[in-house]
Amino acid sequence: MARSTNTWRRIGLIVAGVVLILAIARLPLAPRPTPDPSQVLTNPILRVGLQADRKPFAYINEQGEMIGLEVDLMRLIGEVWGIESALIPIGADGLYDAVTSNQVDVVVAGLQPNSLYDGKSVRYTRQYFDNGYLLLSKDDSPRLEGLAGKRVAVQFGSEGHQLLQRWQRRLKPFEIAPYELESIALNAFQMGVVDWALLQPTTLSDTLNPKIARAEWQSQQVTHVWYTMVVVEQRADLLQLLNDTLHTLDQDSRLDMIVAEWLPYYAPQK
Amino acid sequence: MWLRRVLSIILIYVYLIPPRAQLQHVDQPYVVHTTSPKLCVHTRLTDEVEDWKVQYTLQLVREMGATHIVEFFPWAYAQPTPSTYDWRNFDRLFEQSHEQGLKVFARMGLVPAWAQTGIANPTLNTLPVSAYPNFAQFVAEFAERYQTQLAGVIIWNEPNISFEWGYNAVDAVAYVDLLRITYETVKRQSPHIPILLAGLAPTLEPLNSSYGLNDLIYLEQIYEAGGNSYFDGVAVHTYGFTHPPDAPADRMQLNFRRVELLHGIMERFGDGEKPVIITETGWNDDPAWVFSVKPSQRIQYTLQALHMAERWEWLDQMCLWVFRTPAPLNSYQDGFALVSPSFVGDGLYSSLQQHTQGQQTGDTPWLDPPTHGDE
Repeated sequence: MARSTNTWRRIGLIVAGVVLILAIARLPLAPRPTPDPSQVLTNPILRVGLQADRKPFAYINEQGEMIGLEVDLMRLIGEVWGIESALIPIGADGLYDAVTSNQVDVVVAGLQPNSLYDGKSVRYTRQYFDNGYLLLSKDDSPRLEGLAGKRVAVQFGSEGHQLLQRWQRRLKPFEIAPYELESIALNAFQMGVVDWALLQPTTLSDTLNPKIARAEWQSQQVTHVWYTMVVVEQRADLLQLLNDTLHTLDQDSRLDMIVAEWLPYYAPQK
Repeated sequence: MWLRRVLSIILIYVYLIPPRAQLQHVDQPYVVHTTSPKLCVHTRLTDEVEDWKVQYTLQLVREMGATHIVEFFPWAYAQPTPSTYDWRNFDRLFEQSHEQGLKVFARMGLVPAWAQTGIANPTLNTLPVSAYPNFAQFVAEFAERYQTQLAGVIIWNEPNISFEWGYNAVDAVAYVDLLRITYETVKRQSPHIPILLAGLAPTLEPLNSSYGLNDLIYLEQIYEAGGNSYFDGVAVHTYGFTHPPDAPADRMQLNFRRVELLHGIMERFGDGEKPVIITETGWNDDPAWVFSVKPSQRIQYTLQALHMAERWEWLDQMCLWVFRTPAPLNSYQDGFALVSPSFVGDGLYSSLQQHTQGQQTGDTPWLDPPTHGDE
């Protein structure tokens, strides 16, 4: 009898504990207020490290000015914060070192979260761009089930080519049409030589691909390559400030407007 | 009944554990068959985790017809404390390259934290002057351990740019000091190991630039500081960028033939007999990089550069950056790789292989651009 009472008491305690945990989990956590930029940045100038040889994200134009999608984004963030942004070109090898040795406050160079560094020496912000592969079709929204019997253009030797080869082993037969460049694959798609094309959003840039013509097509994002910003691990306030600002710019579509400026033929999928 | 259950669980567990890969070893090292003994590649294997990937990468290097590799050996990996050495990572690389019949140029750098005590905001390349003897001793131990396979030891990387000099102002005199201490320490233990001057970053940066210094000026400064007594050969980094390999050498241009200007400076200082090794070169075909070329141009330019290298008597090796990286770099740098992280060779790999095996380079592996007749 005593044993049975104890068992029921234990069950009661476990149920109460589970209910308590669920109740806590449902409690809305009060959002932390966005930090004040003038307190987060000592100068107050936002020192931005950019790799200025990547079209259409950051590069030097014929007039010697640094321009691009990332340049516009960081200028906009500076405006939103009411401070100046100093754009500092950094070589590809020195991006992480530039931020960890305090040469810059933030690096914006298409970097993707890397578990080797995340939380150890640096932190990554939320994404500002997705450079994953797009499947393009002129009729219905392209889905993998509809791939059978199709001819798909792709750049030879690219990750997209390897992705199609993997699909060929798993899906119903379809044909791969490898071209030297993604821009040629896109051209073949636009001319109707192939049914579908697999390429990256950056190919839909008229900066990279001057021959691109506006055309009707449907696209389906099939992989994700998130571009994020990088700050040094200790600067949680700057990380939060950037994340909150990126969230705001995403919500009010100003981020989409910048993307559309540089990639006018690409419609990001939300 | 319970025994059957336990046995079933054990069997399922054993079935689910992947067997540990056993490497196949050969009794006699392979011999590299090639018509281009100057072909060499820069590998990145000290960050590779799995043994079989190290072995397979080096096998592909041999099968491509390269005779040498350049590899980066980070000091911090092998000397975690001042009194401890851990050579396991490097040992497997030398064992595997020996089996494949490949010689190794070793690039030395990357400073352990214990050698940076008291330095504010150090980077992986920050080497305080007080730690020069520690670095030198490490290189000497390394050279002695692997002496039978070393084609040369490269002292540091691109010291003419601030990032590689720990985000300090570049300083050729300080570099010569590092070179002298290292040279003397290594030669005491292993007198026959060739010490190579660091490959300088190809750049046009002027004097007093915070980014770095023009490689030609920096090399002149090394000679003016008496550095020529402390190296046996010169490592060179020279990239083609968007130019074909036969584009004329020009002090105000960065192109492949910049190596001729560097060799010209060596001759001017009476050092022209020392060997030159191009430890980084190549063309990139990532369209997002502003200095890239088309994949077909990359193949054509690289083969043409190799023909030129074969004619230059003062040049020992031409090493392409980069054979393969353990994981995608997710940047334009992936456009330099000959083989993907998942071991897919690109058009350049097969073209080089055909060249070194004396075969005609075949048709391109991609379709011709569509014309209006194809519609």
